[in-house]
Amino acid sequence: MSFNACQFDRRGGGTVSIKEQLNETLGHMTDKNQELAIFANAAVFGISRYKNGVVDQKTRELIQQGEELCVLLRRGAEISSKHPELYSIPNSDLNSLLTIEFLSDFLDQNKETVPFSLDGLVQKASEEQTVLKTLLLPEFPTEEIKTKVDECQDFFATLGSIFVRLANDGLRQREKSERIHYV
Amino acid sequence: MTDCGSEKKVSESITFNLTLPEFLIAEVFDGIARLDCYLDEVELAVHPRSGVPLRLFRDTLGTVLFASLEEPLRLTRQSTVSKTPLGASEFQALVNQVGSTFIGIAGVHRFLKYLRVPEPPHEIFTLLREIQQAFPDAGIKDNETDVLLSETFNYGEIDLHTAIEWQLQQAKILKSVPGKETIVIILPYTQVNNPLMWTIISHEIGHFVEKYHSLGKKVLGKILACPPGNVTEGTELDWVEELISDAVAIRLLGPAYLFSFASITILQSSLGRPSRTHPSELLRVRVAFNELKRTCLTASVPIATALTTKLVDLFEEKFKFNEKYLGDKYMGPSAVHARPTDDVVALITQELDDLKIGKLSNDSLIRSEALARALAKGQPVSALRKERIDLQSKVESLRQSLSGSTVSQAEIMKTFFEIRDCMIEKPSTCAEIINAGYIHRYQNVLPQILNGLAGPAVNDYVPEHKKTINQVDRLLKVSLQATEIHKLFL
Repeated sequence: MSFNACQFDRRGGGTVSIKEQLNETLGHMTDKNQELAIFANAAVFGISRYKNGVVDQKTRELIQQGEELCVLLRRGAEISSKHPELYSIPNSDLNSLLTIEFLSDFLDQNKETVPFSLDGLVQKASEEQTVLKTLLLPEFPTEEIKTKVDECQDFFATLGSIFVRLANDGLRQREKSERIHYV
Repeated sequence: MTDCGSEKKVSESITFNLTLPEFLIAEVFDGIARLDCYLDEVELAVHPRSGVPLRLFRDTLGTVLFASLEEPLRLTRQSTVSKTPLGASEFQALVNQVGSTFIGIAGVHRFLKYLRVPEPPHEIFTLLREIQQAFPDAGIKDNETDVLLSETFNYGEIDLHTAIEWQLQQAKILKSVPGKETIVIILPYTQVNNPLMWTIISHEIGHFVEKYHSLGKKVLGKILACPPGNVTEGTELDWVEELISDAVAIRLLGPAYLFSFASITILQSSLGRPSRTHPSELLRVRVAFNELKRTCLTASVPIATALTTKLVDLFEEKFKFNEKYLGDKYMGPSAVHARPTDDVVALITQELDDLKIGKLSNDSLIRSEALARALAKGQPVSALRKERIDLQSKVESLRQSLSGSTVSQAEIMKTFFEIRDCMIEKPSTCAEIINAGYIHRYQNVLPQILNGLAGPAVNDYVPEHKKTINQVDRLLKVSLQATEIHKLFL
């Protein structure tokens, strides 16, 4: 089911809580989280190529995907803090918002195993975006940035794990919603 | 048919020594290629009116799914060539990437329902019949069965009669519906031609059996020291029912069931946590492995034992990865009312023994190892010829006995029957054929994928691997079909 403003309108917009909306759109979010995991992994692969001295178009594309993920996270956090009317959110922003909502729940439930709070994660994404941007510059980055590259790679690997797990949970949830006795 | 020939003992060496990333890449690559094979089948078998949707699917496979394996492969190659292990974050991203590709396969699979669907091949029903025949009770042996293909990338079972009856009762339309239970097995579209994944049918039939005999309530009743009728529905009953169905599947199909179960679960992010309805996958794998070691994995089947051990090791390693990076946790042994799992499994075994349900023997696995060698040579494996020791001299001796008058008639008959027995080709069972298929897969097919993917682009190797998939599927299906014919002559 695609998640767009029309569906919110039909349901009477803000009368349905965002959590209920999220539950109904697990299918959509499974695919979305899978895509975000790919973006996070792409950043790790891009940095890996970079560290091995392969700085070509493919490396740039991979690193750019990591940057896009940072933009999405920052935008989601920004919208989320402003408490907007749900049905007025454009589709792309809604994706950012939903991503943050899912992350927020996930981080709350996994405080023991994930080393970030939501605010910490968004802050870190902002910092790592700067590192990625620097790697994309034609000039060779400064020594200072080079020391941060490993940390940056670890961060995106962690993000990848979070999104893979969210996508997996969604996949299982989607299967459970059918009344068949599965293996 | 397959000749044991003079090779009395199978080789103890196994070639299945892939690392976890290599194994996952090979499994997922195979999964995408199988999706591609399914599209070919749709095109050939049901003649869609337009090729546009098929092209869309194929483009998605080529540009998204296969392409997503390129970086994981590059890293794996780099690590192999440089003989240095992957960095922690690279290893993490690699396994995560393969995991998300697997979810991508499930996502694309959902949309296959918008294509016309081919018929399930009749060999599935040969396997279903063999599984049903393992139950002496007529209530299971004679029930109607059917196989349904589904867009959900999972396997299931539904008792259609009971489900419809329940629905009509809810709507207060009918109290009971005429007819009896109908076992409907649900397979994902893309596994329609893959006999190796049909093994899940045995677990699903297991559910039917446990419901038919109220086994779950009987076992739980013993644990709670109460009559089965007093056992209430709930998570613990659900878990026991799952363990019973697994036990049935392991009993009937041996390692093949464990292989297929591991194949569909290993890429999940949560292997240690039980759900409301199922014990954890890790527990189920451990229970199945223990059961196999107790029953049929012995020194006489070195290949099956080594492959199963290796696969369980990979599964444990993947769980450790999940535990470290994905917040997975082994939530204890899913104890039922604080009773250790071993006790529960022992009670289940007792119930199944009482029902006199057939089981895969150690001899069958010995035969599977021999059959696997034939599969590797591209031969069908519907029957296994006995070893022909000294046949020539026995025939000569019989000829002399017949021409002379010193040998008694009883001795002549004995020699004759020995020679005749040598000539008999004993038909393979479906379980033997499928176990042979798995041995062949792990020894040859999966390692071959890694070799094939050593080239520059993932897509380059796809046509060749699709040929392998089709060839192995065809060999296994022909074997399943021909074994029926062999049985007619015995």
